[in-house]
Amino acid sequence: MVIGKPGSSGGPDQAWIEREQAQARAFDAISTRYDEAFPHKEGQLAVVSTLLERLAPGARVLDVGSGTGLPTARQLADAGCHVTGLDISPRMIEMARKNVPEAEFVLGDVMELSSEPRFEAVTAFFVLLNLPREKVRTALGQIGDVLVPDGWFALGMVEGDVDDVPIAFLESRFRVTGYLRDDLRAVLAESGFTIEQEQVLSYSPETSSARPEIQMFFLCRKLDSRS
Amino acid sequence: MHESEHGHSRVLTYEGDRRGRDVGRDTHELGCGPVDLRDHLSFLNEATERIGAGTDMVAIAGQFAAALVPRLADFASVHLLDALFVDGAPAPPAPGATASSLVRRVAVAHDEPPERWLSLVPEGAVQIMHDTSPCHEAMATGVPVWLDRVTPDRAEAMALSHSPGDLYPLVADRAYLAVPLVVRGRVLGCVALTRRPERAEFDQVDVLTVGQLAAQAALGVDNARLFRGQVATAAEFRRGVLPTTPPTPAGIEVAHRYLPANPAVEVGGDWFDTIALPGSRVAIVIGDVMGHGVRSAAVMGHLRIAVQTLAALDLPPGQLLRQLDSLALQLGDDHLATCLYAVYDPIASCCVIANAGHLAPMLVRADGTVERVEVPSGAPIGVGGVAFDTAEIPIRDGDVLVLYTDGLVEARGDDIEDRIAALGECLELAARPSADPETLCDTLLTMLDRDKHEDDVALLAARLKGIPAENIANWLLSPLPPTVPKARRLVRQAMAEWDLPDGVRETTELLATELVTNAVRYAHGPIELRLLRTRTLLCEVRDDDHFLPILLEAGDLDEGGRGLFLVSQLALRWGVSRTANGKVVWFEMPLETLDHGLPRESTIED
Repeated sequence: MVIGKPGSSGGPDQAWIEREQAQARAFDAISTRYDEAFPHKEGQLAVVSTLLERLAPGARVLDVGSGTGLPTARQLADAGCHVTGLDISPRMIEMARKNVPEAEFVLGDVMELSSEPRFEAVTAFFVLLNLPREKVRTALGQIGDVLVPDGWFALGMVEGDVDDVPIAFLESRFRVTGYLRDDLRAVLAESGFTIEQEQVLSYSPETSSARPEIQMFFLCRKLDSRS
Repeated sequence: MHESEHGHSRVLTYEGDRRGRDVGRDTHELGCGPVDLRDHLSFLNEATERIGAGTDMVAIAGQFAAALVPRLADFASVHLLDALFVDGAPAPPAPGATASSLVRRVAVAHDEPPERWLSLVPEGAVQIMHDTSPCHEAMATGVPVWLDRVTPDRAEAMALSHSPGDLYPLVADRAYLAVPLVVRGRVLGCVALTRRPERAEFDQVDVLTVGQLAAQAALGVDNARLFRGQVATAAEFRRGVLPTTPPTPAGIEVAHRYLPANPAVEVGGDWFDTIALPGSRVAIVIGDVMGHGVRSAAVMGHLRIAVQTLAALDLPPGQLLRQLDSLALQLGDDHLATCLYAVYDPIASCCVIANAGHLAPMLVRADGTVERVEVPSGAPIGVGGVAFDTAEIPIRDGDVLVLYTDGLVEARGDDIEDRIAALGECLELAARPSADPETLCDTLLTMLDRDKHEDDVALLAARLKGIPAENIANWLLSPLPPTVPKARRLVRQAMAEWDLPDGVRETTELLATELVTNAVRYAHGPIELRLLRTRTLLCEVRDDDHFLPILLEAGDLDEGGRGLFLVSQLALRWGVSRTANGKVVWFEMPLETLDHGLPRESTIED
């Protein structure tokens, strides 16, 4: 499956490309530690379970920022979905292919998705927080574009009120963005999603090199373009 | 003995019936044959031994009095200056300065039924020696004073100045000898002896004999006093440097034991500490200064305070030991110690440990298995010029971290690795009935039979209980003015979810807003706002500004200062610490609705 826009990798925004490459290297570096630091993903598992209740067997699902493939690609594949994983980190892709051999994993950026509506659902857990707010809107638009009408979108974000600030995370440097829950609801609505269900919970990573956080899970539906 | 002339003549004019005489004058009265002499020497020998066997002042006095009756007297009472029993009292007085000294009657011996003189001359009674008593003069002059017979007039005078009861029958018509207890030119007390009328008066041999034994007793008392002073000083010193009740921060439960190598001195070079750090983290420290006794205890005191001071700066463990090492080098070349510094984060469920040559701690897992924690070995503090690596150990809630000094495992002839392995086995057995830290310490010490230890032993067990994520809220916020009302809303929202009392909510909202306002003014990077619910509600605001805020007096119009003033007035506790990237300002609010323990904390787990 061709997932990128033809020619998009040679686009004009060289600074952005370099930044994404740096971010990919940072994810490569933490790939083995990530699941150790975040071992309990009950919130994420729960929202995917709810999503699965609403999907027909064999549904096509895109997991943006699929990471190690655990637990989401694994969970979706186990439920019989046709899973495509997307990640910018080659190390993560490599691990995901081992963890979930029946899924397809593609190295790439959510910004480069071609706008063909071909997925019944998209999941994006703790990945859009790596984009500046301006790009989050673009990414949400892209996700809307690849969803079929009435398609589902499951999103996991960390509550905060920052736009593209540098933080230390598992001894690597990342830039992160956060929304307060009210603001995120507004952004989702403006991007053409209706929120069907949401859950907010506190989470403590099991390491001193990541801070505790408030995780927000939203299960949304793409608004019917006719309305 | 010629000095007795002075005291004697002075009192002679006062009483007239009194014999205070130069011992040399009556040498002809000695007249003892070889058998008498052998018997006499054997008595002296035995009495000296008895007196020397006493270990404290009262016991020595008791042995002294008992040795005198009945051979030398029918009645004997030993008096010691009351000041000898007071810690930190000045040195005993020289003769001539005893007139107003309080004297305690510490031992009474006689050959009559025990209750005969009980109410008249009770042991333990404190008095000022009246100048009617020969004891007064003996102490004032520092030489023995004796009366062949106490005349009715003198007995009357002595009885009049005595309380309680009537002293007359105990002294009237009796022979009386008062010998001061003198050592190194200082008067410690005196002994009074009487003989019933039918018995001979005291002679020179008696006076010499009692004087000899009194010198022995005085020396024993003085040594006991100095030793007692040393023990008291040491114990006081230790009280000053060891935590008597360890602080119990949220998320941790601590028990400790300390067994000095020399129980009499009660100090040694081992120490331990628990120190509360920002963010509900706890530093757990154990250390062991090389050497024993008061000197190593003094070094320990320095290092312990240094660790506390460095911990207050919230330095990462490796850096903290590096700083401690530099400090130790400046303090002196005897500041050599092993030290292990662990920071437990109950939120992240991990321990970050740096080590300076100390024995690796043990971890009793919640499931009862025991692990030897893998920590970098590191060089001891005071060696200098070395880096200290850190290890991060994942902790499961309920694990017990056991830190100890080598006194717990060292034994002559045994390989230390074998002893550590044995300790691990003991821990596993000890943890089986209960991993409660107090019980664990007791069981472990009993099993290892550490009463026989040759080195100081310090043992600390900390149950790491964790803080459930449900009780934490943490946000990254922009350092921009619109953040202030947003932060206020977040705090309000979190407290509503936790169902906190109204009073706490209003004050916390106000104070949190003040701290965020300050942070927004000075920070360049993101601000971190954290709420933590345990026995109290903790609110922390972190930013990347390194300047610590200064508390201003009320009435100052500066808003930043006013904010902190409000915090200092309304919060249960508050503080400011530096962090790796800036600072954290925090305050705590009491959660008063704790009538049945912690709010939900215990039920929320699992």
